[in-house]
Parts: sequence; C-alpha cells; structure tokens
Amino acid sequence: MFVDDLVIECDDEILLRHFQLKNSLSINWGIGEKSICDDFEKQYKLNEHISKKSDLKLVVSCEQLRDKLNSCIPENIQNYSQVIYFCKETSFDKIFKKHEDFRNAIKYLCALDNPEPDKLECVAKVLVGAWFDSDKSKASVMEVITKAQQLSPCYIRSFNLQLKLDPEVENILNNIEGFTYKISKGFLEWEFEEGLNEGILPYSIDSLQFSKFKEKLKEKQPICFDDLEVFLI
Amino acid sequence: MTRKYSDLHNDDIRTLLETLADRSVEPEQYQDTMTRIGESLGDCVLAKIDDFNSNTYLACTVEDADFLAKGMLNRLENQLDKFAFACFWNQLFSPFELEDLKVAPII
Repeated sequence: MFVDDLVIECDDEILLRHFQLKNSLSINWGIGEKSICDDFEKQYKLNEHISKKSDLKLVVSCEQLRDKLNSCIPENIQNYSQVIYFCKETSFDKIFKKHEDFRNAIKYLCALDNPEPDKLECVAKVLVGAWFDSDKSKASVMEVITKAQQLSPCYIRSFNLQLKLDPEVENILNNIEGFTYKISKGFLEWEFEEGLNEGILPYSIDSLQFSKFKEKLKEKQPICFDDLEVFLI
Repeated sequence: MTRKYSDLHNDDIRTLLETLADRSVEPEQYQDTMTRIGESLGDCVLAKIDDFNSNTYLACTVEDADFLAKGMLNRLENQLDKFAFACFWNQLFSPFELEDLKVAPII
C-alpha cells in the first residue's frame, strides 16, 4: 500500500477510497520516487492490478493549502486524485462547528432526533474508542459500531426500527401521571410534567441493561413518578 | 502549582479557597466551605443583576448540587422573584478505558 492512512472498501463496489493525512503546511505533490505524486500513481496501478477503481484523497488541515494543491495536481494522477480539508482541532465540538457534514454523519448515528452537543460528543468519542480497540488492519464498519453500542452510555442509534416496548412495561409507564415517553431509534426518551424533569435511558431497549430495567419495573410496579424516577437515573 | 484569583475574590474567599486546598480538611468542613463559597458566588452574581424581577436560571452538574450550587441557591432564591434551578446528571467515563479519551454526557 502506498496511500494507506485509511482505506475504505465497500463490499458491493469496485471502488477503493484511500486517504493520506498530512498536517504539515509545506507539503507538495513532489517529483520522483516516494513523493506524494509517486505514491498516488503507484496506488492507482496497484488497485488496477486487482481490478479495483481508485478514489485517492490527500487530506490537509489548511483550507488555503487544499486550494493550492488542488490547483496543481500532476496531470498523470488528476483523474483519480483530490485534496480535501479536515480541520485539526482538539475537541469534537470545534470539529462539528467546522464540518457540518461530519456533524450530520454523527447525528445520523445518534439515537436522539435533535441531540444536544454532549450527546453528539459521546457518540463520536465512543466510536473513536471502539475504533482504537479494533483490529485496524481490516475492521468492518458495522463491527466497530456494534462494539461501540456495547458501551453505556453510548447514545448510538439502533438500526432495528421494529423495536417495541414490552406491553406490561408500556402499561406501567402509560399509567404514571404527568409522564410521557417515546422510543427514538431504539432508546427511551422521557419527560415529566412538560420538561420539569426529562432524560433518555443511556441504553437501548434491546440491551441487557434494559431487560434489567424492565424486570425491576415489573417487580416494583411504580404507580407515580417519584417511584419511577429511581429507575430512570 | 500557581493560583490565579479572579476579580471576584476578597480575603474571606481566599481563606475559604485555602481551606478547600488543604488536604487534611475533614469532609464536613470541606462541604461547609464549598457551600460558603457558593454563597459568596451567589452574592457576586446578585451584584451583577440590575432587575431582580428578571428571569434567572441556575444550572449545575450533579456533583456541585449539594454544596456549591446549594450555597448559590441560598442567596439567589431569596432575592430573585423569578428564579429557576436545573441540575444535570452526567456520567464521566473513558470509552474502552482509553485514558486520553474522556466524555461526560448528561444522562
């Protein structure tokens, strides 16, 4: 591999997406062996050899540098090469502000419809943790997400939209005065007295922890919010 | 470690902060000191509010609710007509025990 900081392969596509990350402000395409241009060309030929198409991206952390390098991509690699920008920041909050598309991707993976920044940060950091904890020589995206979903809290959505509450639990919750709830992408979001108290259970309704929550409710049969609250927090 | 004081401090507050920094202090005295710092902070906030009829909201995390925020509440709720309080429960953890990775979502 020549362009190998990150490679994305989709099972049903013949396209390989390669990313090379560079933070230095003084980089250029270069000439000759071991230059970025040379690496990109060799990667293209390597992919061609295994009947794969190439989408090669050089990622830089300066917008001006991106524009400059995009304007002078060597002719021999122009058809499959591009320079993109991704900021180098120390917090996800700052990254979200600079990259709306990245924020939207994390938002899509979040269990809440309108997540607050702390929930988005949690989703992103749990995913980063799962990534670090995975075998990065060849990790499946779904395996990384599933690994991240094992943590609590993670606030990563469920992809099973058929999830429903146990009717007995539904009945207990429905009979608590002033208490409302909804199942949002596999998570139980609740509210008491129109926002006086509100929250989201930090585990999905198909998790082991939710099974325990469910059993406790069935055992204690709370009839008012005060009785229920201890199980929610 | 160097310590910098904000413009809000006075001799009493410095004494309270020194008590907090004293590792030998008993838990009860620590809690009482934290509440008193909260009261001083409440007084500072009150001094900056022109209209005591305006809506005022105090928000804190759960670890500050019992003492620091309680001290602020002691001062603010007696003086302000439209006062509300919110306490956020959060959970600090490091995903996959990666020390450099910390997150504390409100739960």
